[in-house]
Amino acid sequence: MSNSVPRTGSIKNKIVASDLEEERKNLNFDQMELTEFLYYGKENYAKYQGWIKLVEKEPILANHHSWYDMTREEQMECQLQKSRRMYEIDRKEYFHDVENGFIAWYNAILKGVYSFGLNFTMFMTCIESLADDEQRNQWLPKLKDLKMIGCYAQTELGHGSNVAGIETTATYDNTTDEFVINSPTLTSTKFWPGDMGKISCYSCVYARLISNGKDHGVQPFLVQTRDLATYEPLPGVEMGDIGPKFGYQSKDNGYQIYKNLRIPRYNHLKRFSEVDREGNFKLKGDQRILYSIMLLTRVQIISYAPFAIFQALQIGTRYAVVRRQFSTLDGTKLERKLLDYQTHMYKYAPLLAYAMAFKFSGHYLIKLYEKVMDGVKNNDFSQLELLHHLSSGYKAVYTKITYDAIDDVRQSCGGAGFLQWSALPQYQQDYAPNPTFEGDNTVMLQQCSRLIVKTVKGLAKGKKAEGNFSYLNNILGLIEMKSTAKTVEDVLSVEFLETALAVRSAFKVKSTVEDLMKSKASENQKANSEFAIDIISMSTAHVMYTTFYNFKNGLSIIKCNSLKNHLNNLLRLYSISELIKDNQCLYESGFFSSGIMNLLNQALKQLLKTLRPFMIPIVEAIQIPDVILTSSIGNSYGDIYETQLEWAKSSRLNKSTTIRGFKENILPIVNGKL
Amino acid sequence: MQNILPKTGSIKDKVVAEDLLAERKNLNFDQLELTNFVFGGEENYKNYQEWTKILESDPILHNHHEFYEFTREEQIEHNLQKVKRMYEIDKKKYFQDYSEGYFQWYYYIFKGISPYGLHSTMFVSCIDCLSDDEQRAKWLHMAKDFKMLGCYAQTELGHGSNVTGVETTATFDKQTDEIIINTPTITATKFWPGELGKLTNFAMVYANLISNGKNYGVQPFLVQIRDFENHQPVQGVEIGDIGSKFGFNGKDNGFIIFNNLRIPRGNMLQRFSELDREGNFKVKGNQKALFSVMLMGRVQLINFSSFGLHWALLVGTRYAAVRRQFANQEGDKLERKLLDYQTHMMKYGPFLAYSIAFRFAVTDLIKMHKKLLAGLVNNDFGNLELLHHITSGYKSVFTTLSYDAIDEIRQSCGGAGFLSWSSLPSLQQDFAPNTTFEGDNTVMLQQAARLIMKNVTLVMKGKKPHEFFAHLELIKDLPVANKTLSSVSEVLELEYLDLALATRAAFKIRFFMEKYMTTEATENEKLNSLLAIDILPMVKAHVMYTTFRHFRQGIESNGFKCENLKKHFRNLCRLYALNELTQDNQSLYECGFFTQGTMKIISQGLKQLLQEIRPHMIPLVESLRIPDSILVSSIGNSYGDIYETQLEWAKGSRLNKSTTIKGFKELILPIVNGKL
Ligand SMILES: Cc1cc2nc3c(=O)[nH]c(=O)nc-3n(C[C@H](O)[C@H](O)[C@H](O)COP(=O)(O)OP(=O)(O)OC[C@H]3O[C@@H](n4cnc5c(N)ncnc54)[C@H](O)[C@@H]3O)c2cc1C
Ligand SMILES: Cc1cc2nc3c(=O)[nH]c(=O)nc-3n(C[C@H](O)[C@H](O)[C@H](O)COP(=O)(O)OP(=O)(O)OC[C@H]3O[C@@H](n4cnc5c(N)ncnc54)[C@H](O)[C@@H]3O)c2cc1C
Repeated sequence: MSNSVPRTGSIKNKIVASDLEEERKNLNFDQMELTEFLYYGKENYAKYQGWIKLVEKEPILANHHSWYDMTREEQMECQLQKSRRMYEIDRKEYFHDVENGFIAWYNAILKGVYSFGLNFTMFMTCIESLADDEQRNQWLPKLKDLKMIGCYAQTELGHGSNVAGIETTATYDNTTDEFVINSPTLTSTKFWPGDMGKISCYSCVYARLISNGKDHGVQPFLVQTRDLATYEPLPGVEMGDIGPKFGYQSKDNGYQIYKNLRIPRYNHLKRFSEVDREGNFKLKGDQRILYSIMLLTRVQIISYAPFAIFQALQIGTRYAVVRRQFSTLDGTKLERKLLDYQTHMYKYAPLLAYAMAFKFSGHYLIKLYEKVMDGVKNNDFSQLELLHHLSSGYKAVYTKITYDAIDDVRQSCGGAGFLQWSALPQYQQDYAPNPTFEGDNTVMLQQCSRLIVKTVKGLAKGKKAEGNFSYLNNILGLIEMKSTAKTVEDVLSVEFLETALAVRSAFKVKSTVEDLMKSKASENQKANSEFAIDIISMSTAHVMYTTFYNFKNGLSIIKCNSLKNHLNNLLRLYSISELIKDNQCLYESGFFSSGIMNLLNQALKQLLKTLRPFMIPIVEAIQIPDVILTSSIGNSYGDIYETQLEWAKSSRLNKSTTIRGFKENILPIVNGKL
Repeated sequence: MQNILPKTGSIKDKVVAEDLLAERKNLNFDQLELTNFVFGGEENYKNYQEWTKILESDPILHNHHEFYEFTREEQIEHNLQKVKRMYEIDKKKYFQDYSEGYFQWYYYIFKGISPYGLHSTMFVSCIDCLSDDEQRAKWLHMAKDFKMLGCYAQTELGHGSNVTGVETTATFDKQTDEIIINTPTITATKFWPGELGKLTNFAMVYANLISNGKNYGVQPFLVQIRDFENHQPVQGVEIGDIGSKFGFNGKDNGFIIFNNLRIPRGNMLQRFSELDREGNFKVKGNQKALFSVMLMGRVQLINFSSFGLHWALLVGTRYAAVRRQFANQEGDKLERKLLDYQTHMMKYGPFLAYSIAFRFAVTDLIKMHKKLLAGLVNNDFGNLELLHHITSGYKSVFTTLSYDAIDEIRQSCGGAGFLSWSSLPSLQQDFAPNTTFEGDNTVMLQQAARLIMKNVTLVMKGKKPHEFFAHLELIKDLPVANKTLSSVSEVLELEYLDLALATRAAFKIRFFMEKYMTTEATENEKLNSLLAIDILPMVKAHVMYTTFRHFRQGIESNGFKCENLKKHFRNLCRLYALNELTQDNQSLYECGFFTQGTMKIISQGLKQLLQEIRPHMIPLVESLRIPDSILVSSIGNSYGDIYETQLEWAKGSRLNKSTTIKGFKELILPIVNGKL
């Protein structure tokens, strides 16, 4: 029986679904202010729009849904075509002047993972920061002009998280003034670097520098791996792609095995250490700078996390306001929009709140990063430790939540989200390595804990904690506090929420640090066996609190009052979601007591209801155009059926009416000939 | 600098890693007893072993790691070759007599996706259960003998969860005594059915029966969609595959659009309703039996939740016992095994406990289901309602937990788990639709809530609930008297854990029911918009409790002989409960069951259990004896070969057929060489 369905959308006929149009009418704030905020300012957003215009009018650059049906080889070729076209159009803009931070957008614009992504991030960073001035001047222009395409070769089969365990050797031969690169064991095989398998001709290889029989630890070397004229591998290096993966399929993660590969001594990146003609090794400059380099990529990963949630939400939320299922509205046959199910709002709205919280935190972190880098230039390392602490903690917590969020959005689109046409599977699959690379999340939370422990120990010696750590100054007071909340309004007050999150973190910090100090076991045992799970839990609670702090303080830059009002509600929702998920410490400390559950529950429902009408206007502030999104259910027309069916019809397996193998293997059975 | 590594494994040289050998020495219980249990009984396990032998000896059936990089077309073709081979070997056994073990067994052979899985389950059961005797006699053997290949065509573009909203029409034409199938709107396009895209010649179509101008609701029709002889689509249908997916890519999920396709009136399945020559419609028999068809699919998914999770653990745990990372002590050259990190045990220990808990639950469930099926033959609908409640609740909770667990295990293998060679990506991706199909998980929890509400209402009226809901009686005693814990041993008592989990469930149920009874709004509003988010945690807590109960009682009632095995079971049962109580305990503080100080004791109990279970992880996990030939994993194989094979498979992979990649020399090399 035909159900009465409001006008659905159609990309082909340029008709917007009436449901989506209705939702857009709820816009009551300055959406452009939010958009520009999400893109880190007017200028960036303008730049982004420039790219989009280009993509829209260049047939080679335009994204096409057939991408989702392509093999790995085809996807890579498609990307190479796009890169070539960009180079032809404006090599200065798209290659020479490209900043590290834009790579995430390249990924979005090009679909999949940008072919030269590692060249323009990790490899470029190494040359920029680890090479001395002479080396940098020589190599940097080349890599930016694609005369030198590089990868970052750190991980080996045997060692990922433990970088110090790397086994590749670079042995100085003072008779020829060369380094000899070798993979002495199976486990020393370089394994995983992106762009390594097929695309790059140079590797920034991390290897143990051995000179005059002495091991000087892991150092970076610039190693040529292919002949530039033929692009064939050089003698002495065996290389290839490592195979199909959960995601990241358009990236040629590779392996390399070195056998007496010789490079000039000059190719040791020597800003921080040097080997002289005789083979004497010496350190130069402040080694702490080495640290700061790794941080950039983490900061980028952190700032990409909210964007990734928004991308998924833009699809999920649009679908959920056009898709209707079950006649559960009183007095009408019209079915209910998915987003009008409270359960669905409870899936999406908190994700929006987390995305926004990460966004504000990311802003704070980028500023901190810039400040730290300025300091480093003047040999001021005072805030490096803080940056390291925050970037490892945020990286771990945000990427985990973001990955799960994308997965949740995909699942809550039902079957439609399971299809590649929706764009969600690939978002999830390509986002998936974020919890692993650039520091595995578990290891990162361990590292994050160090400054917390140090700060608490400092308190005892009378050192005051600052900034988003300052709540710890009152650690003893916090864990004694009792909540006075009696009404839903009390629970929704920002002060109450801040206190609750602070108490939760303080309680975990105090009990973990006490345990650590009391135990007689070795440091190693304490950190890895006895209290490892407490450490993780403590770091997480601390990250969640400081994120709140960054969010709340960041709001002051917002001008539009209605927007600020929405953001305040998202701040509340973020906090309440957290307090519903993990509240044991609050009962234990006595801050919460019987009855609070009901208040939190009501407050949550009230927020969901308040935010519901503004979901589309807020989420759509991310303004990702259809040409980039390429989604059968999340496009701007609210076309959730017509295009889905059309793409299905045009797909690869429909080139013929049957499938290879059927006539040979099964038809004889059907026809009783077997 | 070389690190000291204990001897690593090698499949090629048949060398088992030293670390893995050492772990296996900790075996202190009758592993075969556990193996039989996790395979669903001794007989099932014997079957598996037999199948395994055939698989290993037959080159066509043999699994190969290349499968992981096949295109969709290649995967389907490869699997069709296997089907043919099985048919040749023993058509009776593999196509005609399969039973509930079917699902896993096909998983074995086809690396996930059996090309005729839907045909053999949904399609055949529809014919079996929804046809009348005459129809069954005509069609069932054809279907089982692969003459009639069918799919289950229910979902449409516009309607998935809401089956009654299906729009396809089946209009009776009195003149010709035929039924005309049509797709009146774009949203009525059948969309999703597995095997529809390419592989079947029949579809079980759910459509609105219209006769004499009247709509009699959704009914099943047997519709021929392709020609027997040449397999071309018949006149009046447009068919195809729907495209690439997150997983399940070896399956040709399809779409079909009907345009005045005529079928005989006799093709309406008529065990429960009938249409006479004049177009008069009448209902027959007990409609409840219609439900029972859906049950089987869900029981299988529940069963597979335990199996799939255990499979992932087999890979993850072996890897974690051989992979080492970071030194134990400053300067120490031997690194620490991943599984010796407390954080890693905290991931895998509870997963093992959940997988075993699900196994106990499904063992009971299969018994209940068998009893039900036996009863149905005599029109005895005994526990149908209860089974519907259990299967929808467990399906939802278990598939979500197992999907998340498999994902986490993949992630906790670092980069190695991200590579398809590990087998974890395809396991996760092919498991993924389990949370959606056979009833979306959110919708399933809502359905499971109904019987809880019914029984709690009885309790509130002072009547006795069904025994399955006995714990609901606790709501009368809330809040419970404080029980201050003084030692870790108290929280490790099963009795205590039982009460804690039951109380948690009871509290949430009461929390919801009080709101439900006092909120003034329509039923629709209460269940969908005002209180919907209270329903889900309530059902989940209830399911987690009853699962615990299956586990706890099952340890005693399944006749296990080995005392050490039972000891491990008890520890896993405790671990299951303590992990639950660590994750979600607000209700217990609210009702006073937990008090200040409980947290510390629970945490100590948990850590103690992790430590106790740690040495037995490999022996326990390896009870799921999946041979390497079926596992096909670069890091989870029985040799503990985690490096050599990984590198070898990498070297042999598709993109390495040439030294560069298509397009590079044409497009980019000119740039590198400054010619552009
Ligand atoms: C898509 C992708 C792209 C990549 N690109 C590059 C690249 O361009 N260049 C490059 O050099 N590398 C690259 N890598 C490799 C990446 O850096 C490593 O995967 C990462 O460092 C993790 O190391 P691993 O995979 O060896 O995991 P492992 O270090 O072996 O970790 C495995 C597991 O053990 C746990 N674990 C490890 N140590 C501890 C501890 N101390 N305490 C508790 N738990 C622990 C981890 O939590 C994890 O669950 C890439 C990886 C991926 C997946
Ligand atoms: C791999 C795969 C194989 C399949 N095979 C078959 C097959 O062989 N035959 C066949 O007929 N179908 C098949 N299906 C379709 C499957 O049955 C549907 O996907 C499923 O019923 C869910 O419907 P939907 O996708 O339309 O999601 P929807 O029903 O649209 O649901 C989308 C979202 O809305 C939410 N939602 C819906 N209703 C409610 C509610 N009342 N309250 C709260 N939230 C709600 C859901 O939780 C979900 O998050 C298959 C699907 C997949 C993914």
